[in-house]
Amino acid sequence: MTATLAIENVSVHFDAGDGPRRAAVREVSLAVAPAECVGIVGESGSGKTQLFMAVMGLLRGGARGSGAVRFEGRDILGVPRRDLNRVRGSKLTMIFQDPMTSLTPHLKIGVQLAETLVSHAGLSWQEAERAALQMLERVRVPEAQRRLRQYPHELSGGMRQRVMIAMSLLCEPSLLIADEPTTALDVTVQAQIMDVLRAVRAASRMAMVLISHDLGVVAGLADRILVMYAGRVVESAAAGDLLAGAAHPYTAELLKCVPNLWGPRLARMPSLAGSPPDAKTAERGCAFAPRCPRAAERCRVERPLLRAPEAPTRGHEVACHYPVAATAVTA
Amino acid sequence: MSDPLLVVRNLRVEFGAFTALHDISFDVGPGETVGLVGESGSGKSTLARALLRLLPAAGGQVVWRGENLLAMGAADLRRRRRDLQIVFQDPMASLNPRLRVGDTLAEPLKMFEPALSGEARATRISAMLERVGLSADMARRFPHEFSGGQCQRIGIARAMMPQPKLLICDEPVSSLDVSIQGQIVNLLADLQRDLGTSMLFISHNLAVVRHLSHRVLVIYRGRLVEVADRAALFAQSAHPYTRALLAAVPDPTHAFAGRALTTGDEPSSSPRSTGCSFHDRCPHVQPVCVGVVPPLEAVAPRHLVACHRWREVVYPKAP
Repeated sequence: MTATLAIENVSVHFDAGDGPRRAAVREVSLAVAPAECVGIVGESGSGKTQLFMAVMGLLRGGARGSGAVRFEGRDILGVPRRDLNRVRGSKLTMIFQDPMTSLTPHLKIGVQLAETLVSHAGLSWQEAERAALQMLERVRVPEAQRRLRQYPHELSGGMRQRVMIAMSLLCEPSLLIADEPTTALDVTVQAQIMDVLRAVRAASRMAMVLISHDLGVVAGLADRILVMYAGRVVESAAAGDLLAGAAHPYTAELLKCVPNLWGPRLARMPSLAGSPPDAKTAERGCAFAPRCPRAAERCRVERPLLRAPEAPTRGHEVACHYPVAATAVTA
Repeated sequence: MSDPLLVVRNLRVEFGAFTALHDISFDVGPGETVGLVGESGSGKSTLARALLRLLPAAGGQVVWRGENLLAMGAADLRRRRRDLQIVFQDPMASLNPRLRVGDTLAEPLKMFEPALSGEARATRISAMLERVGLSADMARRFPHEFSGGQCQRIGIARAMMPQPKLLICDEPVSSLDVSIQGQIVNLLADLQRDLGTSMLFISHNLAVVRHLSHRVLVIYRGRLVEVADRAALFAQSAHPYTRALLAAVPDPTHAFAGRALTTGDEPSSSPRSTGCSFHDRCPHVQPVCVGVVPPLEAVAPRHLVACHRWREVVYPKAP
């Protein structure tokens, strides 16, 4: 079976004049199967957004992607824009954190939605508007008919994000990349948007990449979770395996840091000392070693490769010399 | 319990025809942390600013140790402000990029303790930097040389410099990565334990509020809808909005978390003149909710709720 999206050995570098080249993403490989939802978790600067900007051909500011990206078997990294645009925006779509900046402020919602279908699917404006209305109803926009005649600024943040989701679904994409789709929203609205995304997944074979700093959000939707740190994937596993048995110390510590609403109140709120390395620092050993409670001398000199941990569950990979034993975390 | 430090009564803030805060009343006691929870547009930050008179109030009282700050002359207000300091959400934006950290920290001392010698100031600054987990030599650096978490430590140091009695923290960890948030929350808890500073801790993050607060205020569209001690708020919340808020928080370890109980759209800033501010999203709405603003009533000692239906609607116990 061909993967919907295959990312092979992709790196993203920034040219920094005569200074050293800075790497935001380092040699990442991953595949997304049809109908699968892959969650990408990482903190700011981990490279999770840059990786998918490279996939979408949206890198800017001197950033350059290398490696190979195949969408439904066809190369899309580094191909001419015209070739990329055959799939981008129709079969391969992306939504962003801030829906306001993704919508054109001076065009009515209906026009922006219909335009997608007119340009990608060759529908007439009338047919396109009808389809747009149906799609707004599908993502549970109340008073959808009226919304078509409104401008983006007349909608709330949650409503704008629903419009973006509707727009991204219009051409029945094979893959939707959602980059922090609920981060700018209030928590009650976030829950509503997550419900919409769950319903969309249940009703189609669309694959999805959900990028978020919030493990809780990703856990609510993803089949598989990849954890990124300092530009690399440090752990990858089925969602349940990762949450119940994180093998990378970073994942395990991150899980402890998620503020807990239902467990016992701890005297100290868990946190990680220090901060992640910035992209300028030359890579030596494991990037997490300076903050890692398990780090030994080897971690500072030899970079661990992504591989199956001892006693692996299927598809579990971790980049760590001294991974956490599964039992230590589930306890 | 000893007398409250801060007594807020019927505080009202208007922006033209729009009422941002409706008759807010609450107290903060010595050494107490009061959490203020609400979503964007609920009026949390407006409340913080109105307390400090960074925004004009349209009515009500803000009584600080017996004196109404809202009725005070500018010179008196400036003296009182020493006692009430604020930490902002965006630590980068709230520090002057062109001042060395030491100079930023020196400003409140020059303002409130002008007699202090340069040497004494430097000693106080070094001690404060170490108190917030930085090192004394960092006084010579500029804000851009620090990470977000370190900048927030500097923001806290700046606020603590004049030895305030009340620290207002407006979303102090919201812009930080989750692995860093705990560092700042623990620092605030340590400062309170060691110095007895009272806090008003404003956040949309319920889990962080739960960690720090003794008492919690829930605000929705400019009105307090529930006020309770921490344990009661999280275990026996009685307002449908508080219930929806608690249910919506996603949690990687609990499949039931992160669910939407609300139906309608989120708050907008459009004026809403009648009824309960939550009526258009509430699963328990009745005609009375649309017509009449519910008063804050005691459902138990120290537990207030503004809901017409709190007696009838029985909620399942919190998980």
